[in-house]
Amino acid sequence: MNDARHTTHHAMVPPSLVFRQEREATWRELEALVSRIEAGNLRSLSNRDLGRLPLLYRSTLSSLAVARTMSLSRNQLEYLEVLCARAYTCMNAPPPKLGESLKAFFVTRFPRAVRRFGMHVATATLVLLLGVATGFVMVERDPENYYVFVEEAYAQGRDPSTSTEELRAVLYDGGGTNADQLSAFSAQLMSHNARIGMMCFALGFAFGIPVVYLLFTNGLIIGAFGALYHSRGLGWDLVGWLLPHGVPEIFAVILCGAAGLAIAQALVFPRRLARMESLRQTGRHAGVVVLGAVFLFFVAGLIEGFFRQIVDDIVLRYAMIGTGAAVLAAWLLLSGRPAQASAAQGARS
Amino acid sequence: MTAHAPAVPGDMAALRPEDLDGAPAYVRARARHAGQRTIRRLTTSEGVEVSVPVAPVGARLVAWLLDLLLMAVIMMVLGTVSAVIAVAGLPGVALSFTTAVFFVLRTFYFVYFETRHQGRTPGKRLMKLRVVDRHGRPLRVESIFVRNVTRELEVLLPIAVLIAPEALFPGSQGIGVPLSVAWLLIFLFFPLFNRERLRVGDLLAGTMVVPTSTRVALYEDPAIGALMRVRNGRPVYAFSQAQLDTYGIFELQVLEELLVQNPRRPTDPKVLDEVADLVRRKIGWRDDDKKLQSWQFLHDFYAAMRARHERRLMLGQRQVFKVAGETDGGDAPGLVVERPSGVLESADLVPPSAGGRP
Repeated sequence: MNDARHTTHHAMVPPSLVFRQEREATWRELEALVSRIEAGNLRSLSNRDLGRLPLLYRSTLSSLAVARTMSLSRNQLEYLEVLCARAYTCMNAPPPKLGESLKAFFVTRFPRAVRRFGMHVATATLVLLLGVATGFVMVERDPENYYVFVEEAYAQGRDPSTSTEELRAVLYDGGGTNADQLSAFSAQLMSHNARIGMMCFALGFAFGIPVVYLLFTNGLIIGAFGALYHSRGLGWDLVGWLLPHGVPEIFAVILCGAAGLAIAQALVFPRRLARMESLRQTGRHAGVVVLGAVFLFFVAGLIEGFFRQIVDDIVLRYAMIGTGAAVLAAWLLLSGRPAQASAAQGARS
Repeated sequence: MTAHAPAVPGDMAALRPEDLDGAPAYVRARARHAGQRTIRRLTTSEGVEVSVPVAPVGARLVAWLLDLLLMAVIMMVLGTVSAVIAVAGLPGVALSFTTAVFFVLRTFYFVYFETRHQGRTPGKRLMKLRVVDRHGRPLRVESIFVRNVTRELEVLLPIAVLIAPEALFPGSQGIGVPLSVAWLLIFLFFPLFNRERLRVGDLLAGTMVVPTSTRVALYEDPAIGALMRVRNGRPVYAFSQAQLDTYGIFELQVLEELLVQNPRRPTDPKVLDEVADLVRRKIGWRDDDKKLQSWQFLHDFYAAMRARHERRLMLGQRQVFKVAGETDGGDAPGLVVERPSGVLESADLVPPSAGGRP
C-alpha cells in the first residue's frame, strides 16, 4: 500500500505528447500535400488543397517553434525540422507564366537594368572606342600591323594584299552566296558572338581585367578593318556595311562588358553590403542585362545574315542604321520608366 | 552540469565542447557523429528559422554528367535530322539549322528545365536534387540564366586552357599560362572551397542546390502506451521524482531511440531485458517477488522520465546527463493502478495476453 501521490495520471503524460496529439493531423496533411508537390508540380493540386496549404504551412511552422522550446522527443523534432524545410522550398516555387514574364522582361526589367548600369555602359563604350582608335591609327601608320590585330580566320581573305575591287565586292555583292548559305552564315555569326558576349560577362568575375582586354581587342579589330578600308577610299562603304547589324551587335558586346564590369565592381568594392550579398544583387541585375544582350545578338545575326547580303544600296543601309539606333535608344532610355506625368496628375486631383 | 544552453534543448547534436567536459566517452562519440550534415539556416517571413540541407558535391557532379549525356543524345538526333536535310540538297539550311539549334540547346537547356520544372533538370531529377533561391525567395529567370552562363567560365575555359593554351591567350609568355591555368582551376573547384557548395554561378545568382530526398518518418510516440494504460485503469510502473532525475536528457533520447517502433529494425527482446536490468539497478527499483516485464517497464519509465524532464524544462532546469552512483528508490510507488478516486493501489502484473500492448 503506497501513499505516494506524486505519480498520477497527470505526471505520466509528457506535455509534448499532448501537443502532438492536438497537432498531428495538421502535420500529416501538410506532409501529404508537400509530397504531392515534390512528386509532380503545383498544377496537380485541387483548389481546395492550394487554399489549405498556406494555413497548414504556418501552423506547422508555429508547431516547430513551440516544439523547439519544449519537446524532448528527438523523432518529433527531426520530423518537424525536415517537414518545415521541405514545405518552405515548396512554398517558394510558383510556376512561372511564360508570356507575362517575357513581356515584363522586355518592356520593364531589361531597360531598367541597362539604365542602372549607365556608368558601366559608358566605361565599356570608352574602352571599345579606345581600341577602335588605337587599331585605326596603328594600321594607318603601318599596314603590316593589320596582321597583328586581325586573325586569318576572322579576316576571311580581306587584308592589305587584297585588291580594292575585291574589297568592294565583299561589301556589296554579298560574295555570291545563296539563300541557304546566308542563313548558315547568320547562325554561325550569331552563336559565335553571343558566346563571346557571355564569356565577357562571366569573366567579370575574374576582377574585370579580361573584360577590358576583350573589349579593347574587339575594338582593335574594328579599327584595323576601318584603316584598311579607309586607305582604299571605301571608309563610308565599310560603315554602311558594318553598322546595320553592328548597332545591335556592338551594343550587345558593350552591354556584356558593362555587366562584367559591374560584377567586378561588386566583387572588389562592395560598399555597404557584405561581398556575397553585393555579388548576389548585382548578379541578378547583370543577368537581366546579359539575357537581353543575347537577344540583341540574335537580332544582329539575322540582320547580318539576311539584310546585309540582300540590300546593296548604301542609302538604304544608312537608313537602317539610323532607324536601328533610334529604336534602340528610345527603347533603352524611355521604356519602363514610371509615368511621372500621370502620377503628378493623380496627386493634383 | 553546464551553464550553456543550446537554443533547442532537445537537440543533442548542438552540444558544444564545453558541454561535453567530463562526459563519458559514448556521449562524446555520439556528439562527434551528430553534427555532420551541412545545413543552411533561413528565416521564413513568419520569423521561424528552418534548416535547409545542402546537396553533396558528388551527387551534383553526377547530375551534371547525366544532363550532358542527355544533351549529347539530343544533339545526335538533331545532327541526324540535319544530315538528312543536307543530303536532300540544302546544305546551307542544314548547317544553319544545326548551328542555331546547338546554340539554343547549349545555352538554354538548363535554363528551360530549371525554370519550368521548379529548378530541376532531368539529371537533377534523377539524383533527387533541386535548385532553390538561397534566401527563400522565388526563383527568377535571370538568376537561372546567370548561374548557367558562368559555366563557360568554370568549365569550358579551364578545359580550353588545358588543351590549347595558345589559342586563348595568344602570345602569352612563360609565366602567363600556368598562372591562368591555376586561376581557372580555382574556379572549377570553387564548390569545394565553401561550406554550402556554391559554384561561381550560384554565388552570382543567389541560388543553391538542395536534396529533395530528405525524409523523416514520424513514428508512434513511445509514451502513448503509458497514457493509454493509465486512462484504461491498467497497472503502470510508477516512479519517484528522485528516480526520474537519475538520468538526463541525453539518456532519455538514447532510450527513445531504443523504444521507437521501427518496422525495419524491430527491437531484440534480450536487449530490452538487459537495458531494463541496468535501469532497475541504477534507480534502485525494489525487487518485489513480481517479475519485471521489461517492455512495459521501459515504456512507462520513458514516459514518466520525459514528462518529468519536460516539466523541469519549463521551470528552467535542464539536466543533460545522468547522475553518478545509484539512487535510493525506497519511496517509489512500484507497480500501481490509479483508481478513479485518485488513490494508487499496488497491483499485480497483468499477463500480456489479457490486455495492454504486446
